[in-house]
Amino acid sequence: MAQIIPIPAVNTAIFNENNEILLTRRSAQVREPGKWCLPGGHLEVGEFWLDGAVRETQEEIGITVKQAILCGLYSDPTLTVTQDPIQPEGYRGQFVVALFKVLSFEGDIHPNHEVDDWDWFDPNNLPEPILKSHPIRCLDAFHFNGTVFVR
Amino acid sequence: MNFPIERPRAAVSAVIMNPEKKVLLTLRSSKVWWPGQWCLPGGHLRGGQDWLSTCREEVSEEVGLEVVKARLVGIYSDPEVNQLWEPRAGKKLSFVVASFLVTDYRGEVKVNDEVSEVGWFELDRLPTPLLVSEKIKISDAFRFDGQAFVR
Repeated sequence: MAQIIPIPAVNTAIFNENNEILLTRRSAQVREPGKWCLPGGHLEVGEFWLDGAVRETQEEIGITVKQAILCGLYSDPTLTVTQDPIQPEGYRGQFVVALFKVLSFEGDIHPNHEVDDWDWFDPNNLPEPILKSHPIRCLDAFHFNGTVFVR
Repeated sequence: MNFPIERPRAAVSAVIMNPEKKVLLTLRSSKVWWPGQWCLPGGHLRGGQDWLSTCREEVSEEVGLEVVKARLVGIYSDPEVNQLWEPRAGKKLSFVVASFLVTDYRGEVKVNDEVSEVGWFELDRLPTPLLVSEKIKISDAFRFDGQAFVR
């Protein structure tokens, strides 16, 4: 079996006034196309966790996160290890993720080429297909009451 | 560990605090990177494991204690203190860390060969030289009130 290497990454959970969560559908240009997911991506070398979450959200959907709070930390290998080796390097990535609940943001949603659709969803009624690690994150962000989920 | 691409390295730290409010620190032996520096128990997140299981295993291996309960104190990636030059690796290593407070543990302290000395220390009497990344994690654990730090 290919070596598994942890890859630090970030997600953001953004809610509208109806407490619905923003999901994007992955375009043909990215891994696991056609699946719904939270905004997010890799943390870069030397980058603060929160800066990574702000940057990825800006890049993918065009909004500027003004305030966000850590609500979850994820690494469960049964949910976060990539099924196929990441090419060309040939290892399997294990996404170890900090999830931030966005408390305020500015701007309108303008997705980039990594996204082919987006919408707001009831966290208890999420769309399919969805990245398998993401339903629990949506629910954790929805239920967050101050204690960070560690899974 | 040999990384195909230099990415941020995910790691865990354990701030083990005894009933006298002293924290357990280890002096790094010549078998590991940064020998002769004091640090918290911890290490690289192991591919295929999760944050908490890595925390439990590192504590068990390095100082022989069984972690009963660990609470997330914070996540850290400030490059000022988490990017460390390692002469034997021949490069600067970039860490992103989840730090856990452990006040509930079992067993007696018994170190492995990664540790040349071990001791319990008060916050205002930390030993030197202390690995540069550790000070903020230790002081955060002392002021932790349930809300995790993001740094």
